[in-house]
Amino acid sequence: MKLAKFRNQEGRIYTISEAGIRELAENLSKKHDVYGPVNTHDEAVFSKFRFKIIEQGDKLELHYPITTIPPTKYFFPSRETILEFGSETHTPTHPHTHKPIVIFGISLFDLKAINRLDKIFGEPIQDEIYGANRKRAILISISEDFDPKGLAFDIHFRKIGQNKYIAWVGSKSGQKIIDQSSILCTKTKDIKKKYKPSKKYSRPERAEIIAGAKDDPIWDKLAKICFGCGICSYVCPMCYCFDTEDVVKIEGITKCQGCRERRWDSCMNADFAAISSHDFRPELKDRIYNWYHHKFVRMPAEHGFSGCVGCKRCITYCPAKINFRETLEYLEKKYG
Amino acid sequence: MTCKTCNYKLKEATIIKAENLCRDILALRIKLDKDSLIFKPGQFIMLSIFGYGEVPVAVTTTPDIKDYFEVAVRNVGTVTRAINRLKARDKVGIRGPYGNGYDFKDMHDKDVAVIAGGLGIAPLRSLIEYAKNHPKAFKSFQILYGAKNPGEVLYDEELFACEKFARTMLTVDEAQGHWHGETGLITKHVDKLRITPEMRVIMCGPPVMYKFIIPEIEKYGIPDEHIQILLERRMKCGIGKCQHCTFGDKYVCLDGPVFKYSEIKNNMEAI
Repeated sequence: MKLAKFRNQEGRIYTISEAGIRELAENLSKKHDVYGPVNTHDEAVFSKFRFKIIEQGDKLELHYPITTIPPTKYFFPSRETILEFGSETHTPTHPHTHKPIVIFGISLFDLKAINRLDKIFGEPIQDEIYGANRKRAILISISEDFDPKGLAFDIHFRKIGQNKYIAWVGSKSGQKIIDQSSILCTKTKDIKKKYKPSKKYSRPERAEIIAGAKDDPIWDKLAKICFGCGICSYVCPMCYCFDTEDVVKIEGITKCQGCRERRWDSCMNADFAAISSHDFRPELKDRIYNWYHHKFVRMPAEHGFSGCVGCKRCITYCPAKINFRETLEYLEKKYG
Repeated sequence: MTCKTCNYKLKEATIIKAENLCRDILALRIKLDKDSLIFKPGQFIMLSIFGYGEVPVAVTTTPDIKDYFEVAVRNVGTVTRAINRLKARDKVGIRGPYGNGYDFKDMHDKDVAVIAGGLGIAPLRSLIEYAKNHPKAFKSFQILYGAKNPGEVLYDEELFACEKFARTMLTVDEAQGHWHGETGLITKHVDKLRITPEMRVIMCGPPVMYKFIIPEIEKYGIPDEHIQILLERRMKCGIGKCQHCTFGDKYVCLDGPVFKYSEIKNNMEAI
């Protein structure tokens, strides 16, 4: 899989107005499926901002706090057919569309998560289903306060003033889009900035503390209030565990068509680590500990980064009001 | 559009023999329709039955046989129940093999003892068959296998025939009817193995077996890195993504399923 390898080392910078960004999105939507954050005005429990298909630039929400479900859903959807089969042929076929899509208005949290998921699904073995979904997507991100330091993207918009943004080109596809919309933006300069992403986890002491805290009473305490519903993993842009299930449609008496689906799973679910003769994480407290362990111990050891980008979705949507940061603070205070 | 190199792409295969090993365990002899399975003893495959799903199973035959391979599946859930209804000429899907397999380098020219509990004999049968075909690969070979009762002893005729090249002990927790082997828990028979401190011990069985067997073996001064344990998990992907087989910092599908005891000893949730 070849993705935008650009990591801000060199590139071109343009200025663009907010109206220009909207027009750019609308122009793109004439040729591609463009998805971006939209205000649905529908807010009960979940955020009213959702990633949806964009046809008009003025529908695009440029200043949104967070969407409940992260845009990683375009690469790793909640349900996805990975295999099709029929009763007559028994020949499994693998459906995949490679129609290009544009994801517009990605927040820095989510951009970071996508960059990390690229590595997780790419190493040591490439997951080709994720790879195919990801390869067809053009990433256009947006931020107000921070630069997309060390991240890969196609175009990044950074707000620099009232109605003024800089457009940072991050890849050839990004450059092509800008070139086609040259009327909307003004070239300012070429930049050369060296940025070397670190391969080491920046908080080794945190990993060490959690690795050694399996027997701490905190897990018991959390298990008493946690519902084990798994929403913290469904809304997390970095959570990616999955299950597979066969779905069968029966047509008439003899015809049977089916598919295998890959679905989101949650390590909070009972039986997640069970085999017929044994459950390796029988209690909720074991599964809660595993959630932290995966994010802050196993993932840093495997990939050099943690499983948290700081978007706070898990805190916002937890029905038991569990704040994982408080758990980390408690552990770090106690063992640090 | 079809995805030709997809990780989840299945190879079509046909059942050429289906035989009940006991009440709830079916042995399947499978032939790939287009080529043959290249694997190492101790590796596993993903076996698909269309419309029901996919399960990880160990290959139970030696790689010396190129025409077909076998697996043994216990009827415990939706997918395995459907698998247990399969018969000759039925079609299945195969992907794999996955995992590392037994460490043959470490066992080469050494005294080897194989300890199996219950269905744990299935993945070890691949090694036993290999040893039968390659008597010079190991200095000596011993088999200790325990099952609940004579009705649940798998591959018993085959294993009794292993006497020719290996000291073989079969034991059941409770003997009923005609039983020619030993009686009593497997732990009670460990001392009947000819154990030397230099020996390599290869184990597969339910987690509860390891708990009692390992202290018995350690009494003989066998170092932890000379004990190989094959772990069972319910993998969904086989390529280190789905997270179902993880424990500590290990993936059973990538780092295992065969681990040196020294690798997993201090890892939570391993066994």
